[in-house]
Amino acid sequence: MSAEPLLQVRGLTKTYGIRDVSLDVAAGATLALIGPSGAGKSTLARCLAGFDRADSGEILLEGRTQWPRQEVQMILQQPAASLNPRFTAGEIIAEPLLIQRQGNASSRSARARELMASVGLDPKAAGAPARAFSGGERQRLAIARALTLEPKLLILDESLASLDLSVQAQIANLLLDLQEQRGLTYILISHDLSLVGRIASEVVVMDRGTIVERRPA
Amino acid sequence: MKYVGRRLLHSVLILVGVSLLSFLFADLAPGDFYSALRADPRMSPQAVEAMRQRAGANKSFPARYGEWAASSLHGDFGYSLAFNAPVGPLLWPRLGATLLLTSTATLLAWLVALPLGVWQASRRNRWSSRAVQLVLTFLLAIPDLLLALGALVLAVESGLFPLGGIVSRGFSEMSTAAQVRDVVRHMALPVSVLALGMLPVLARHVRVAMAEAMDAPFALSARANGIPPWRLLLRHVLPAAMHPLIALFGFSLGTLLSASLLVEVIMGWPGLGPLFLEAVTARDFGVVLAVVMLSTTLLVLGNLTADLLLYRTDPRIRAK
Repeated sequence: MSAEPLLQVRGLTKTYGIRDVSLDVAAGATLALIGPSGAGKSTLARCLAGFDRADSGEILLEGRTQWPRQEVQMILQQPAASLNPRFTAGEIIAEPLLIQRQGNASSRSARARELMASVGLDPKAAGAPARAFSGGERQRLAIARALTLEPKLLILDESLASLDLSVQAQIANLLLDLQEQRGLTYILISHDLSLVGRIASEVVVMDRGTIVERRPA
Repeated sequence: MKYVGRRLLHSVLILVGVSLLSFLFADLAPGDFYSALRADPRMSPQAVEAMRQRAGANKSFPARYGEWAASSLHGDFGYSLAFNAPVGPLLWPRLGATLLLTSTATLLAWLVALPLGVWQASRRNRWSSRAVQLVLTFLLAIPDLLLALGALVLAVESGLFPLGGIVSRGFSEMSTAAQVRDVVRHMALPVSVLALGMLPVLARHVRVAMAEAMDAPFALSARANGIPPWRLLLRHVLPAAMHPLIALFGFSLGTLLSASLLVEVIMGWPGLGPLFLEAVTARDFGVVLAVVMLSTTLLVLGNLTADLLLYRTDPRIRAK
């Protein structure tokens, strides 16, 4: 008997976005969502991340219809714009811990430095503002922040698209390493089929709001 | 410091340019204070010419501008022919009354517009926000003149507010608390009219700036990290929305003198408005120029304040 999938989507529909979408994602797997622009990939991702509410259908995480927000995290496309330029790297990473009232200021700061190291950033740069980092470093920062809350599912919405090839390869390696270390589950939205082939274990093709094909990567 | 120095130099150049142009336009305008005197059959042309000579009206343009500029630097702003006195002493008490009125109204309008705009942006597409927007649009469409007339009717019908002036008779015999109450009662209606006139524009700018910042990727990212709505608004979105609002704040400081001229005239507030109107009617260009220069100075100071605030709050400007 196979274990229950981490994520189950049943008949999800949202007007002008997706129609009757159903899929399962196993824990520790990477599901790639591909398809032309306007296929409904991002709408599905936004519904999964809790940004948008679907008109009908059901989303289950470990069999639950409701879950704490931190369990599903999303990393957006633009690394430069997705970090508050007024915050330091340390503040960006530690803020979710502050909201969760986890630890005191010094333990949160130590955790932020630890997470920076885990994504290959120099922890000494924790006091530097986000704008001082390069594109690839900012995406590492965004990943570190998403990891702060120890999510079960990480949605990567074209998160590597704006990076140059060498940086993209480094981040892809980082994602694979983190998945191995932490047992993370990814949903990867991408137009880059070579990246999909490298990271994903399964591919779902979407078109005009519906799933048209599902196959191993 | 280099940036501040550059902005200060820029401000001084604007003031000199505006003073030159204003003086030139006043000079080119047909007729002057003496035109009305010439039409008076009791005044001989020789007497009027003698008056012109005494006032230095026949001197060259550079000589007159130089004298006026020197006098302005001493705070006198030349001589008022209609009031037969230096302009400065005429202006200062009225300037105080105008600034009291406009700064209170501007502060009040901002204090209401900021939370209102933030609230509206946080409730986009909800009926409550749309209802408030409808009221604000209605207010925007009403001219200040109509608001002021409405306030006058309210004062007359209710008898709750004094009509005109800044203090009541016997003000000097009142206790301090009664004096404050008296000034507040006199200010209530003109301040309300001005604040209601400013509110829709300010609230709209706050709402739009906040809504734009709320859609920024970093705000979306913060939402994804579970940052609660109020922290998201106050710590992430509001600071990002501050730039256009700081520029608008500078502009509203700059309009402190000019915003209330009409309302002052209608509501009998003894500020610069009635004096300016009287000076224009009498072609007393000394007073007109002084009011124009004071308004420009305030506008320049408002913009300078906004620039310095932006310099302080925007790391990108400091990096340039």
